[in-house]
Amino acid sequence: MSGLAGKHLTRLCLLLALLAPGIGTAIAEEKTLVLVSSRSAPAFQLTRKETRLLFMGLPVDKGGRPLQALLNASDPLAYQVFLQKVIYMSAQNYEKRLLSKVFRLGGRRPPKFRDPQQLLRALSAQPNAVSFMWESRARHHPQLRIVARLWSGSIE
Amino acid sequence: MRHKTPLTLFTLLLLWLPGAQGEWLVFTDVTASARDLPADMTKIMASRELEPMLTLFGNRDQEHYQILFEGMLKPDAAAIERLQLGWNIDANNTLWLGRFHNPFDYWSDRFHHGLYFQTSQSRPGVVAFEEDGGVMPIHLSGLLLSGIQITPAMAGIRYDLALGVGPRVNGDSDGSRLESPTPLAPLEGGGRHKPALSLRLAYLPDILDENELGLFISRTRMPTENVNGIQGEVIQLAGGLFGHWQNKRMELLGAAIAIRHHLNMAMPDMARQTMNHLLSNQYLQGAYGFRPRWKIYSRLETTQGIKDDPYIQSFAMFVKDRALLGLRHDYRRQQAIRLEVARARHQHGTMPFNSLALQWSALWP
Repeated sequence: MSGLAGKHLTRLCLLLALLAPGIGTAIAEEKTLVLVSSRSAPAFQLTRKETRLLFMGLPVDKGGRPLQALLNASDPLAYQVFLQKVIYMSAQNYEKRLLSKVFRLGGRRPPKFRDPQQLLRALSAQPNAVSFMWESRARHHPQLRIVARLWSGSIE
Repeated sequence: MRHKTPLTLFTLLLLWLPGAQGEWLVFTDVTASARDLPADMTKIMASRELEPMLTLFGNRDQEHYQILFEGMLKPDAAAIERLQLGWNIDANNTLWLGRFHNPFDYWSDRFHHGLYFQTSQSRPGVVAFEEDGGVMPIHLSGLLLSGIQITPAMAGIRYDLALGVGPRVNGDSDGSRLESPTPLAPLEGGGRHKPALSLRLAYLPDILDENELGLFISRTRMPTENVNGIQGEVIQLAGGLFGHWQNKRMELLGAAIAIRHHLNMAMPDMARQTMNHLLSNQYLQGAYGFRPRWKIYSRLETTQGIKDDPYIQSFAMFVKDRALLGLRHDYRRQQAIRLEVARARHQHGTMPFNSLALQWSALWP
């Protein structure tokens, strides 16, 4: 009996030793998703509910200025985390809701950017524009101001 | 529809104006239907049908104005469904001028002609489009004030107030049909179209959700021609309640509508007389998402009080009662396929009949 248990223990140790490097990478870095705007715009704060309103295509004003949401689709992971943890919808439902609203009431969907450089240019060009990205990335761009921390967690 | 071509060109030109931004959406739908028709229905309906449809939507939006266009093209019909010029009073309120969907009930305003957005393949009979034998004025031309008031708790009161002209009712040997107004109908003289007024209010417990509870009232004067002995016009007064509730898997959508028709009758060998008829209609649709991208749905529709109403009796295609069961599969991004079986009783038919339909609908881009 004890021989059998020892054999299992040895196999388990071997397995753990083999998987250890993979586990290390899978367990992941801690990431923070932030809301950013251009530093040239006056500072403002945005609550989580206001962020949801804005990205659902509803009007949000700060200091008399209507804000403009820009969707950052240049980083698929950030886009997915934003939809799941902030908007609470799948990408398919979110896009359908936006289209349905435009078709029903007019207006426009938030513009979607697949190119990070274009997103940065749009943020710089429009002082009332707001988007989201990983905090680590936002810190590399001094022209951006972090408006709010939206979500923090580890990603496997 | 008169003025169709110049108006369409004018609108498309406006939509291309530089400086404004907006959206283009294209809906493509193909429906294949088979019906087990009783003998008395074969004259007015095909037992097998394949119907493609294309709907084009475009809008342009600037700070102070909007323009919105929705056009529909089928092998046997083409129409400007919505053509609206809007003045944005503020971020939450818009005054529209043009041809729009009458803000009564819930279905028309929510889905318009975009079949992809409906869970089901078919519309309830009471909100059927004019060209499909509908009895209610789905389109009006004139002014529409629309908006939403948002409370600090993020609830919303959405309102729509329409003042314009409604459809005409034209009758022939196949029955009556509504001729809805063109975008320029309010400018036409000669009493071709008469005034219509509608008010709808809806309460949204959370403006980020799609749940709504509301009520509406509408009054429409419709000039008649060769309609079952009705002289001059029909005055239709309608009021009702509607609701839509959904969570991650379930969806419920329904309405209860009361309609009063005021008619001036002039039958041969009869003194001219005035009549009032009251009828009611209810529909309730439920859907359940049993797997991601798969939904099963069902709808019940029923109408009471139409037996002696000469107006309703003149609409052969009007669906009085229907029970249906359907399956929807969103198999690709913005593409869905639906299979729907139904048992329905139309105004013209003495017996209910069964139908089976398969529909592919897509939204581009």
